[in-house]
Amino acid sequence: MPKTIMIVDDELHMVELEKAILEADGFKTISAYSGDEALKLLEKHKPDLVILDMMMPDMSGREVCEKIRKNPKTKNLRVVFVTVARFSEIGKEQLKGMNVLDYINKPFDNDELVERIKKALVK
Amino acid sequence: MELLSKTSENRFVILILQGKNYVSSLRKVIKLTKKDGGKICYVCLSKPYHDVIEDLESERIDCGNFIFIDTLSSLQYRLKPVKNCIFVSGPEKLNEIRKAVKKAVQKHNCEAIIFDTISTLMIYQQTHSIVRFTHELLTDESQKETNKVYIVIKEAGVYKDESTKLINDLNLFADKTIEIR
Repeated sequence: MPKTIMIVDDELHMVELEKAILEADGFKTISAYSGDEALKLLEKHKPDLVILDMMMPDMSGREVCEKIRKNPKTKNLRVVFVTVARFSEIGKEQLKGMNVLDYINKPFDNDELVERIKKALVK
Repeated sequence: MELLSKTSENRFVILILQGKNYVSSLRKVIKLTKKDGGKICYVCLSKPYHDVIEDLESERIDCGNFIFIDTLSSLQYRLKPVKNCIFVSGPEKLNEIRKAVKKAVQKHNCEAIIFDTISTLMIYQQTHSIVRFTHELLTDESQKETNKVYIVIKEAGVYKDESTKLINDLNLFADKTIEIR
């Protein structure tokens, strides 16, 4: 069974890029263009992992992650950040506290993205 | 104020100041920052620069090594060139502010940047735009050598939730967050 990845990013081209890379490697994908849309989709779908952008309008990636953790149905969902943000050491500790498995900086190498998503799926 | 003694060891410091003690806390921060001796880029987001100078001088703070970025002075002030101030047409013009900060830091080798106060931008911008703006300033290659101090006022009232959201998002990039009550 192919693993399903939910991609959450307000930038359409980033969603399309990540989708193309992951689908070429055999993953199934679900796309969301805002935190709110992602949370609604999570009521219907059970992806194996969620990729979150950090800086999105209305709801940041951090807020989406917090809401995922607060919901008993999604609290154990695997979360990875794919973002332009450079987190500080304190920030990285906070992400660990939110059980974020990895943070991949944009721009990323295609192979690196696939590799790190695969690693996060077995963590 | 012991907490503040280590601000210079950290590049990006968020200072959360309570509304009632905001002015006195801010002045103490400036006095400590000035001890390092370098130029300070002071971004005026809450008051025009001449009001800020008046406030600082009333506290016997010499503004000689300050470079101001003024986002609030009216057009009549902006038309006259001032040696120690760069005017920006409004606090909502984040690109203009970014360019002005870059210019000031490069030209004057500023050792510190003070944003007084970044939470004021919430009147004009969504939180994510302020977070993006702050992050871009922090990661700008031309400003890598600068110790930066960002000041966030923790406001009550209509902006309380947005302030909390802003602080929580900025915390992910901050080297230190200090709350002064």
